[in-house]
Amino acid sequence: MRSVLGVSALFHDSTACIVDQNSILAAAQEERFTRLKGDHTFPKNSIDYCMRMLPSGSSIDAIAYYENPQTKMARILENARAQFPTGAPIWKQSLRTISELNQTLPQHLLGIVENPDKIFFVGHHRSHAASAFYPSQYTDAAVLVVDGVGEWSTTTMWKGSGNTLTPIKEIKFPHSIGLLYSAFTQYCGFKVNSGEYKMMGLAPFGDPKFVNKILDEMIDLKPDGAFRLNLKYFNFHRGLDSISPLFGMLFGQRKRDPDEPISRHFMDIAASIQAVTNLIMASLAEEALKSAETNNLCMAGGVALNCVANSFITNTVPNLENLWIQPAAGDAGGALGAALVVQNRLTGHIPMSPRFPMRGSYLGPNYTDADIEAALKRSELNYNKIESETDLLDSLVSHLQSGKIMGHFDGRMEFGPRALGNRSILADPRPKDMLNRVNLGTKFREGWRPFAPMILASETETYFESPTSSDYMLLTSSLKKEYRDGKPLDILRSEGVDTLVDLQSSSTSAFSAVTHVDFTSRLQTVSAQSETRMFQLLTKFHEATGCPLLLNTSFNVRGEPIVCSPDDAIACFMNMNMDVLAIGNFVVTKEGQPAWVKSKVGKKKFNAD
Amino acid sequence: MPINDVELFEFFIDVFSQNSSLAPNKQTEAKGFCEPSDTLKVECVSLKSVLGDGTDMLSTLRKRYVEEGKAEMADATTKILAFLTGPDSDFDAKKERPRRLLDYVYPTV
Repeated sequence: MRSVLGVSALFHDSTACIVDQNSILAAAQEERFTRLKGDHTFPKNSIDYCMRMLPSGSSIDAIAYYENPQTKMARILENARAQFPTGAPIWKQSLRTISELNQTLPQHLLGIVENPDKIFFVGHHRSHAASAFYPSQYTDAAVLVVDGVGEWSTTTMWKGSGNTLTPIKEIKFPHSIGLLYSAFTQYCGFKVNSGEYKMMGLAPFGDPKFVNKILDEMIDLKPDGAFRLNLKYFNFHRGLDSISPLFGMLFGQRKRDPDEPISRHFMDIAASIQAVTNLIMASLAEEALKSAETNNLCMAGGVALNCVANSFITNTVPNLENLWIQPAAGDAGGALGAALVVQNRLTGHIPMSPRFPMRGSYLGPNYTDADIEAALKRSELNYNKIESETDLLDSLVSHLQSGKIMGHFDGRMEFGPRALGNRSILADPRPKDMLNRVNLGTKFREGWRPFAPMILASETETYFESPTSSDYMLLTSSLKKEYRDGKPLDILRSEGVDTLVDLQSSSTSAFSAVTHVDFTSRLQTVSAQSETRMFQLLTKFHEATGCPLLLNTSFNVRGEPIVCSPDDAIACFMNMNMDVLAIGNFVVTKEGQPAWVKSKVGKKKFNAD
Repeated sequence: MPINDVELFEFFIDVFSQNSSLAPNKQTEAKGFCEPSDTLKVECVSLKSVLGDGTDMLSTLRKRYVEEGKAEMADATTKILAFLTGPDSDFDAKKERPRRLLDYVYPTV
């Protein structure tokens, strides 16, 4: 079998993956092994893992790197010239990056494969496009890639047909939706590459009162989705800030300090940029479908992780019949797309049926019972092994039913930013206090942020409005009115409820821990096809309680990557308020531990996310 | 002694000031959608083709600029290559990026 190693590195979310002629064998982000969130260093640990997943006796035939470093260096140099001398603040970093790409990167790659003819560079946006098109089940589709920047491109449209991907249009740096959204993220005092989710979550609390100001002053948006930023409000192309001083002046307030309370102003800002993003993405999607003359759409690039915009596209774009989004839509997925492009080049074809299914994105490491038990013994925790699957599921359901918060670790780790059950924290979404318990006690994060539900796919239409199919938590849906208890946001505000936590806790529903103030949820629909323990667990929980949903949040604490190994899971369990750890066939309860274990909770200091 | 900020500034003055026409960069001045660039059309390129006969990518980038008639950029590339790889180079490329750049600002370089 011909195997290709895909690599993305040196920017953020370094990743390795490996594909053969028929399938994706493995994929994992480096951060999971190094425990450094968003790790950008060359992914040695991920590569080691991928190499171990090769069939015995085989080796890789080629390496595919997710961008063309020479073109990227050209962009950095030409931008430095264009911004001379005002771009001085980023000169040092520009030189570091050029040096790294020019010298360090080739050394790393040649250290894996000695022959430079077997190392390939695939354009950044082509890598994203391939990651979206080839694993989709469509043989004909428009592909829309929207991100911060890759080489020169920030937005590209492609026509995917059979084995080929043909570029149709592009928008170039510095005009970028990813960078626009990122600038607003910084303005609101949130970190890049994690704060975007907070922005999305903050938006429903606000009134989109700045939409016209953004569209009139900051971005020139054409009806076909083409856009151009007014660069006087930005600084990302020449400085250490994303925004210029004029940015805050436009909105009448300076940027929020990360430690300041979130005022109504920033809720309105978040609502406004989300509304603008929805408009732009829907226009781009419509244009992509029109240009490619198809009704199927695939998407990738970091902006495709904006699940609110994705649902807006689903609900508003005419002629859209099918949508598939690469679950690792950010740069991690670039490694996969690059590998698929090179595999296509080497073999001359992409298998048509099945193509390269994502396997539920369960592409990371798995651990045996022996591995898990060895880790448990090292930890000196008390544990039970339950051999019978039925008994194990009954035990887990019983814990969840009694309101316990459970770390669930089973099977292969998820590839991409979302935990989809195999490295998840689970809880019953119905108790009114569950949101606070998990937010404040378990994950040590802000109390206003809702969690996402996983739901049996067969039950979704009973509880939620369209869209109701979302395997990878990439779409939001509204809870049907009959399951809502709380008052709408505008009524709450008129009654004087104004803080984020008060608004969130007043907007109750039958599943309060997993619905937002606007009664939307970021769904993960789970079916028997997922071939994970989660389907059985959800089914049993549904049978026992009548509730087909579980709260699902990533198995990590604030500021850390999702757990990878049993040791990571055990460390997390010991440091957070988690009642139960279900790890493989082993069950660990906090109440069954000696006092020294309980005394560790909350003692470890975590970085803010 | 590692290069300090003033020396770095002087270096960039030398790299760019001789051609500081500040002419608009055609790559960034396009309005709306562009036709796909050649970079997008190419499926992939090998490391061998990017390195050419040499051992670094900046040298072949310089050659490309020469072929495209971009003498200013070719000259700038020559100076940067010498700066980074010359025997007297003391630029610490491995030094960690400022946290601020990583934490709150999407890195475009």
